[in-house]
Amino acid sequence: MSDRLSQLQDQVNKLASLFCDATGILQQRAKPSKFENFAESLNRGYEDDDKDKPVDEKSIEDVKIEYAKSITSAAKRIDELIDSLPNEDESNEQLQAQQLRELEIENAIAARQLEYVTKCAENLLQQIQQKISYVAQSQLNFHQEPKDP
Amino acid sequence: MMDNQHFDEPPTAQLSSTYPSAPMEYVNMYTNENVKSGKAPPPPKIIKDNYTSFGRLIDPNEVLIRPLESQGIQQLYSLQTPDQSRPHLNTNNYKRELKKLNHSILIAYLDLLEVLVKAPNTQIQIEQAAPIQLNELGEPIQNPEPIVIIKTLREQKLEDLEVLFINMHHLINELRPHQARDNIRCILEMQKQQRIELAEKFKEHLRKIVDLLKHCIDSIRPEVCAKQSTLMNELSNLIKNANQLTKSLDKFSPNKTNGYHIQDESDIEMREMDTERNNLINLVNITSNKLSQQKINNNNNNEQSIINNKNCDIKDLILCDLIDDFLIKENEF
Repeated sequence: MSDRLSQLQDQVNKLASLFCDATGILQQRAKPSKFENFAESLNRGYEDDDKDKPVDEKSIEDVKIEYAKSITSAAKRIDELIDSLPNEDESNEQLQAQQLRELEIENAIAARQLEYVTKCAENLLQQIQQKISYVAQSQLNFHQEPKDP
Repeated sequence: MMDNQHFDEPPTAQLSSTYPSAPMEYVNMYTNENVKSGKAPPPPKIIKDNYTSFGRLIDPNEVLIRPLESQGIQQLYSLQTPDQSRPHLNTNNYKRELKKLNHSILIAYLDLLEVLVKAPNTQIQIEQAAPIQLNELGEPIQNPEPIVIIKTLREQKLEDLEVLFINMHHLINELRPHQARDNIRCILEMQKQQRIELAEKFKEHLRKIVDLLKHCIDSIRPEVCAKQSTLMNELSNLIKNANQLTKSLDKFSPNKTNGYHIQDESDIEMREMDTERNNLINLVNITSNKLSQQKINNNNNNEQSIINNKNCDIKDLILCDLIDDFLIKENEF
């Protein structure tokens, strides 16, 4: 999932390719038109060709509608994506810069707090370790002493 | 020159790394001691003029996104604010412009289709202002003849569509810097949140540890006091017994026994008693030593440096001082 701007650009590109495809389809499936004063001489019955493929006519119509639908939905999607972009007042450059500066300061404060807590914990740990070693030492001493006399 | 450097390096460095290794005469300057004492050379200054990078000339003062018109493409949108004081994009209504462009594209396509259906080969004449030409003196020629271009309507419509698409993409790209700033903001926000959360968690754990320690101290203290008082009782009993014994021994001191015992026998008896007494006194001393040793051990067990009888003053304890300190400073935050 890309960001919104890339999505928007992709959608615009999609719209462009849909235009191309739709035009191509229209051209491909268009009835051949008569050349004036020319068709008669060739004596080709265009109408006969049409009668040969009555089912095809319907599918052409379907494809056309399909393309019209996808073009409108792509355009609609572009509009939606544009709407989803942030509002003007949120996107002020100065405001953003200020936000960044504030965030930086807040970040530094948070970092210092974290450092402080870590230092406290380290102190406590050191104290506890000292006491424990003290206790262990005196325990050893205490257990050794009765054997001495 | 580059090749020479490559040849000077050991072949292993070339094989193991994609990029050429950094020049060692610089790397050697940045030892830990040098950096600490400030002897290491400072980083180079930021380049303010033009410079080349990968064979391309780069101007750092250049605007990030060049306007369309500088690329010879007509700009179809206007992002100028009404007061014109802040010509940049971000305060402007780019959303409206984007939508307008979108609708223009659709309409242009419909136009194109119509042209294709009705009159695909219609030719139109377009008058275009001629590019400014200079005469022999280097002055622009006044009122140059407009150039007349003849193209089909279809071509014209296709060009319109192309320009519209280019404009759309360009406008979207103009939002990229803004998006980048917003990304940075999000990242910073996340970092801040992470730090705060971590600190909170850490604090929570610390508080738990402190509570646990306090609990331990509280639970140990009565035990120690009880133990100590029994020991004290024992000690006083022993001392009492010892005193009684010494008193009773004193009755048999040489002066008093002199009269009614044979000298030799009384001497022997007295010596025995003396040794007994000395033994007792020794015993008392040992016991009291043991007791004091026990006391010290108890103190240590309690993680306290001093216990005076039953009045154990917590404030005296280093550990508790630390805990208090922590709690006070935590409140300050």
